[in-house]
Amino acid sequence: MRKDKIDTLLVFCLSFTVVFGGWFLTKGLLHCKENEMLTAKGQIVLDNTKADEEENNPAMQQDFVPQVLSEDQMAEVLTVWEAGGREILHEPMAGQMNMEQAIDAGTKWITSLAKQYVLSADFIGYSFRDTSAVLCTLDSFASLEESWISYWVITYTGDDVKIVLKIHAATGQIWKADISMNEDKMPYGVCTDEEVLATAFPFLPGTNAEIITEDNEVYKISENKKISAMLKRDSMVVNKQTPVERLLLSLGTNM
Amino acid sequence: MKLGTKIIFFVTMFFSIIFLLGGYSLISYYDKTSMEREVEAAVEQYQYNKFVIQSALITKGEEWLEGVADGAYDISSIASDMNHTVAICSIDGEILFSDFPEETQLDKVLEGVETGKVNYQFAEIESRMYVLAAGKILQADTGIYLITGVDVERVFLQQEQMIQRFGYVYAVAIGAGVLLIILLSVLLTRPIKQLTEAAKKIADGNYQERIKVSSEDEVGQLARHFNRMSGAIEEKVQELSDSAKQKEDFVANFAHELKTPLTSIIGFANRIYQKDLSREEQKQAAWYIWNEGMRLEALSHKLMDLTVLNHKDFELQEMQADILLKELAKEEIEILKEKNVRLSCEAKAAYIDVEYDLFQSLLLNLIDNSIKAGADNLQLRGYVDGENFYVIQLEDNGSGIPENEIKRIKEAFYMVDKSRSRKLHGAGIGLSLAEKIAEIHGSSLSFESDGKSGTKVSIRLNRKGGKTRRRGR
Repeated sequence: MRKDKIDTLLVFCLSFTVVFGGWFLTKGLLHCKENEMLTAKGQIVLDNTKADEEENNPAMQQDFVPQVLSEDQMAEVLTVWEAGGREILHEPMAGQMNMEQAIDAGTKWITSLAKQYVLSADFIGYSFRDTSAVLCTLDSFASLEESWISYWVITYTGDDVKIVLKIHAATGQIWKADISMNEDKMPYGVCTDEEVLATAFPFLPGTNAEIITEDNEVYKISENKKISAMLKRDSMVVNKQTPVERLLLSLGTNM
Repeated sequence: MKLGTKIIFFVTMFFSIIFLLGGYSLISYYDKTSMEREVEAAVEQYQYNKFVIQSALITKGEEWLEGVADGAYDISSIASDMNHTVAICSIDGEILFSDFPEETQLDKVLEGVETGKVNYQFAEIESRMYVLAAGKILQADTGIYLITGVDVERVFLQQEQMIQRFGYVYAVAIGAGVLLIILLSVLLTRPIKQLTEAAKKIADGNYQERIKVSSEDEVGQLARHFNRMSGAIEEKVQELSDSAKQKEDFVANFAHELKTPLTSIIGFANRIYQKDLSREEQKQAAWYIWNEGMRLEALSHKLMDLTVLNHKDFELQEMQADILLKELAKEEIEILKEKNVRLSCEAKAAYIDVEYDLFQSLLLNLIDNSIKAGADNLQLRGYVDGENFYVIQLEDNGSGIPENEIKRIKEAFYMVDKSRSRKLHGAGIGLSLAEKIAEIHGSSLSFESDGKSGTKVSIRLNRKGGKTRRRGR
């Protein structure tokens, strides 16, 4: 009987130790693991070391050959963009333009718009106060070439003007533009909407594109009706300041 | 230690260990993936900041980077475009710009930085945890180090909260678990306790004790088998009890049967010894002594036979029933003629398994019994009953057996008419012997009588093709 009581007491102590001691041990181990992680360090390889080599070697920078996408392919890429998702920054991959080329392409595009009187002639050779560029891709399960989904977002900031361009990294084409400037810098009535769209998206396939006007949005539908180019004008007035005019130009698949 | 206690403690320990292991694995995994996510986010922020510098480099030209690297240009305006906490160092390690507190040591994260790769490490800065991501930005012969720090203190706080929450859940789970285990233990051990109680009562002599079977599972089956065992024990005890009583009765009857003739013998012997008797009186006394002596002798013979029957193995042999009966009858007919008793025999052919001598003894006992009952005409028959049986029947025209005594007729020392039996040296063991022989042959004697005009005794034996040859006792 006494042995029985001793056994019961021993087992009770053991289970008490396991239950409570186990908790403290687990907590201790978790904290140890946490401290271990806190002392961890490592190295991560950024995408495409080759692109870094291009950055440092000007001779290599001329190697970018813009890809040509068919209307169907463009529509697929635009569908992925429109679906949205998490933006992931990365270094340029093979087959994509680098930052300098993207900024250059954007500058040329702005100049071409200025030359065609879509924008004021002041923007020909305009030196922006600040330019920033980031290369993004979208976290998508689309079965497309990886390099086709990426785009450069270039922001040109000047005096009372801000131009944000979305440049397709593989083709070098401007597929979206958000132009904001003071009302007095935005030219009016010089070009028709159709001319603006033609200037902004010269690569849009088909010569017999359809033009549709809906509310204050103008659409130019491609020949195969897969892609539309949109033009939208907007105006914002902020407390006794000069109104800001906004011109939105974008490609899309919503028609 | 009681089974219930063992179940409670060991299941609690097991549950606790499994729960803690599971919690540890989950939390560790969560911590690891959280950290990996934060490192990825820090690297992404670094990438963004790197783009800002590269943009500036492209728009402002290579001289700008050289100026920044030399400390000639103020980089704070560029740094304001960057995300999170940044620091920019020259290739020599000199800090050109830093959002970090002054005492922050950044050189460790810059150790081993290579182009195209980002170093990362965790650091505690002013009691907050940061992930530092550092890389090298090169342009021609010059370059800078860019360090981006992302505050991950909230992640650590979340981890602490998770551990705390796990602790609460663990406490509740253990508490609830222990209660459940106790309930389970009670449910499991209750039937065992019932079994124990029942076994105790049976051990104390209450053989009628049974357990209520309330389930069809293993416990229910155990209870059912326990009840069967109890029933078997009760039967066995009853059998033993009956057997002991029978033995007691046998001994008592035997003592009584022994006492009666001995009393007579002693009485008459004493008379001869004590008194002067006439020759006639002496002869009469001597006759009584002889008569009782003969009874005792017959009793001892019969007892010997009974003992032999109880302790010997007998081998039965296949015999033709009609021939057997006719042979046995033929042996007896002449002897019976002297007693003016007629015996007729009629038997159908069939094969039966018998032990010849024993069967003869059985028949003799039955015939002897009939004669004691006053019969003078006996009929011995044998006939087939169905496919598997053969019936041997002895019918007499004696005084018969009253119906209320037929049940006891086969008991040892039992006599319907004691005086008539004793007169013929009977001791009341003959039918008991015959019944024993019938049992050896796998059968039993059955009696039919109206108590007035004769008795019919039958024995039903297996025919050839029925039960296999067996050894009788």
